[in-house]
Amino acid sequence: MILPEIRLQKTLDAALSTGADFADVFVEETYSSQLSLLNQKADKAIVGTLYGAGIRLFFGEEIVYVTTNDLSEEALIKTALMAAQARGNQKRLASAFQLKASQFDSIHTYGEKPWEMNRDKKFQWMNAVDQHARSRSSLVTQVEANLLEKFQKVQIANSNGLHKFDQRAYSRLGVQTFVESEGMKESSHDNAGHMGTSELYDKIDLKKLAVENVDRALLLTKAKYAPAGEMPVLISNSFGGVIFHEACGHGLETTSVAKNSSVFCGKLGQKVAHESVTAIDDGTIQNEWGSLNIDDEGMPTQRTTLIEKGILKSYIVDQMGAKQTGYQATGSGRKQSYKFAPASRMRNTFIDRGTDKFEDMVKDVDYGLYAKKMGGGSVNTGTGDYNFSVVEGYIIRNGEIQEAVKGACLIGRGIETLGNITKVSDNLKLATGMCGSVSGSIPAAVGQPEILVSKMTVGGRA
Amino acid sequence: MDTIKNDFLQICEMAKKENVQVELMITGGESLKLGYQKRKLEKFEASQNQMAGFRVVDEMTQGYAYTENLSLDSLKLTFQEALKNAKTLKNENNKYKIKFATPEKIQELTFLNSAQEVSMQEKLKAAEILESAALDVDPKIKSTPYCGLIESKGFKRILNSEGLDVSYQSNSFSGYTYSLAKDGAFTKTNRSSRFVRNFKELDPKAIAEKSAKAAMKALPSKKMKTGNYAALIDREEMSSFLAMLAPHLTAKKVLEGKSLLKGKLGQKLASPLFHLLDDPLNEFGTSTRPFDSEGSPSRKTFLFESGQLMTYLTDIESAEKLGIKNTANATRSPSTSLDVEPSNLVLKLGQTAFDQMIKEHTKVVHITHITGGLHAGYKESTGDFSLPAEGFMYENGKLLGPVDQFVMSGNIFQLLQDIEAIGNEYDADGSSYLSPDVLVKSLSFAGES
Repeated sequence: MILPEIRLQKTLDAALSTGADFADVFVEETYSSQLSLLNQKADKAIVGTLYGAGIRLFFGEEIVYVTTNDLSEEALIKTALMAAQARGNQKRLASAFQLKASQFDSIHTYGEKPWEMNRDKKFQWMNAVDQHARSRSSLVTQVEANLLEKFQKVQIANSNGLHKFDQRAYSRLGVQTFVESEGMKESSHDNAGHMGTSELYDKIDLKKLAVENVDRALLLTKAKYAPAGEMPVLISNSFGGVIFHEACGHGLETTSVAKNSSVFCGKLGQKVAHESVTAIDDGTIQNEWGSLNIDDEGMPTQRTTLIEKGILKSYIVDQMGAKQTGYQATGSGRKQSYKFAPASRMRNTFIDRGTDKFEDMVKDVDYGLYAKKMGGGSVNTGTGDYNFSVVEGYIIRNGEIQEAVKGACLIGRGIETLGNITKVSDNLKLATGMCGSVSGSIPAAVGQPEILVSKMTVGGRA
Repeated sequence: MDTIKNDFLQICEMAKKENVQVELMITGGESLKLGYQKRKLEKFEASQNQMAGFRVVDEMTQGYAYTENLSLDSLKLTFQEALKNAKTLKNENNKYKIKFATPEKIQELTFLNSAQEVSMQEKLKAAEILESAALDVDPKIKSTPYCGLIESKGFKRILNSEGLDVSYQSNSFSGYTYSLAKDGAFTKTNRSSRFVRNFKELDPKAIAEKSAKAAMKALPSKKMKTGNYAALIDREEMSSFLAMLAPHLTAKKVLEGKSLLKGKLGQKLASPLFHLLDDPLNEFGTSTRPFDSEGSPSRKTFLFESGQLMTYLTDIESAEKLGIKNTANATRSPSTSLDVEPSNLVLKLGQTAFDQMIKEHTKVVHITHITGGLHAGYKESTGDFSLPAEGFMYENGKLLGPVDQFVMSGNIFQLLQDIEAIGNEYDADGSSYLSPDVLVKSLSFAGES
């Protein structure tokens, strides 16, 4: 625990003193470390601690949220009273609840804490990535590696008597290589990480990470610009899942649905995708990047089936979303830190494996694009318009993957694209990503097997 | 009693014993966010924050650490962490001896912190109008998924062991409305916002109506035919293109070999109409400040004049390494390391009116919204972009209608050379990019086959 239970009880009592329907307090202590290596030299070392609390009150569907850096009893009560008096006006006589701390078994396992681990070891991993990249090609002009570690302790209590404590570790190692070939400069970046501590890098193949990165940058120096226009697109697995994240996932969050500003509003039980599509949002996968034990509202995480064989089965629901829409909360209240009020957010979100074979899917395309490696993307949930970039792409001609192309951007409308998915392979993979939305930037994994979309707009050069 | 100063002096003593230099940056402030939904108050968020960040320099290396606990014990521990980080990075290959800013006269920017008493009732009223005035424009405005008022009060202080102690306070209000318009099967959204330092200058009705009317105007959009067209980039969206250019302008990226402008000082790289300025003293900018993140006094820097690259943006180290003037563009927060970035980038006004620009080519696409931001398709290492966007198609100077679901592609450096005309007015909505409309000869557009 970060703070004694009695202090949280008094804070919540103060928060409810003017008639709020509900109150919760989120206390956080987070250690962060950022180390980087630039051109074989240790370049940056930054460590720090976040320490604060957010107090949230519901007055009907109105949310009051206040934060403080001062976790003394006096300051917490003062902050809670400020929140209570901001909107409330009734007098409440006595506390009607008693906090009761509850224990649970963690799904996840952690090794050495980031502040305990020898720093030289961390630089050794980054140095190894640098060396592997440089050994791969003499055309490498620069290598940057960085290691981001976060260890978050959270304590959550609410006026229903809930009181829980949890610890979440995150570690992510990134590499960016720059190459120059015959006057053409290109770069490529990639990363590996998990919900967990950094011993991961003793187990994963750092050479593969570096070599693939260099090879991609070199490939791009020779690639021509992607064509422009509408065509079939075969999207790879792993980070290819960003398409579902953008095209559909955000539109299923009650943050949009409750405001009637999602194209998926009112479509529960209806067909929203091709029957080959089953989509899951799963917080229970051990040590996976977007996993949790409990969400930031204290609810146990769960595996939620969003779409089953094309039929919309569930939205992504936080506590306020549940109150506004009447749907059951799915343990999806998440936020970057105590500085943000929680909102309905994705965890590990993916299209589930199908039955098609990748080779057969390629053969289905006369002329189209194979999007092998995706970049970032975004969505307008109101219109369903999404976009994302293709970092590494290839032209498919007469059922064969041919020359590499660069500079492609894929756009479309969520529901149309879901309907245009015609095949789903049996090779599911997940990848790490950072998702930004109203409650800040949070770790969220994306994923899918390879999928074939019969028609998408490819933004390349006309 | 100046507790921070006293505490810092104690830490300077610790630094002296370790034979290192120390810099402390403290930022803090309060913010209030109010938002209405369905004509009822939905969001009331108040936060206060403070953070202290140390930069410890051990001759050729530096380490950082930060904390949100500003007690003396916590500050001492955080200093020790930063010291440990500086020692970790010790490397005999580093040759440059890092220097701190020394005390200089700082220009006072009184407009940053204008005294004003605004009641909670007035703020709530403004927040309410930011939704209701949009909904009242037309029944086709179905909702305003995001709208509200943000009040911010902040301060920044930098002290270093060379005797520097500078600080400033600022306050501001922002109002924003994001309207969703629906007509049959067609849906469009539009975001409008305004940043002011004085509450009286905020017109919530105008913001909300602008957003609602712009969303309505884009209904019903059509796809366009794939091809090359002249592009008229709206003044509000020109910020995305200046943001593409920004990292290439910094001496830090030049030294790292990442800037495509490396070795090009004095060269004509853009249209002769292109004059670009970094202006940290601009009253309308959101990145306005009297000093940079090392404590050097802010000043204006001419980056492009008549298309010619005049200088790079620098901090103390990069200026000295390149042998050019320090433009005071060091940037960092207490929790990040030192970087070099523009403050407010200002593109000088041209002489061509909007109505004239749309007549310059048979077909002109007026780009009013880059829908995915830069991460959807900008590659900094090459300057190539492929960005989804929306806008309006003009033919022979006449509006054909709204267009959407297209991707425009090109290269930022080619675009700068292809500028044919620059508009003659700004919208002072508040941004760290100030630009008029810009007409570009040709970009590639991907839409329908």
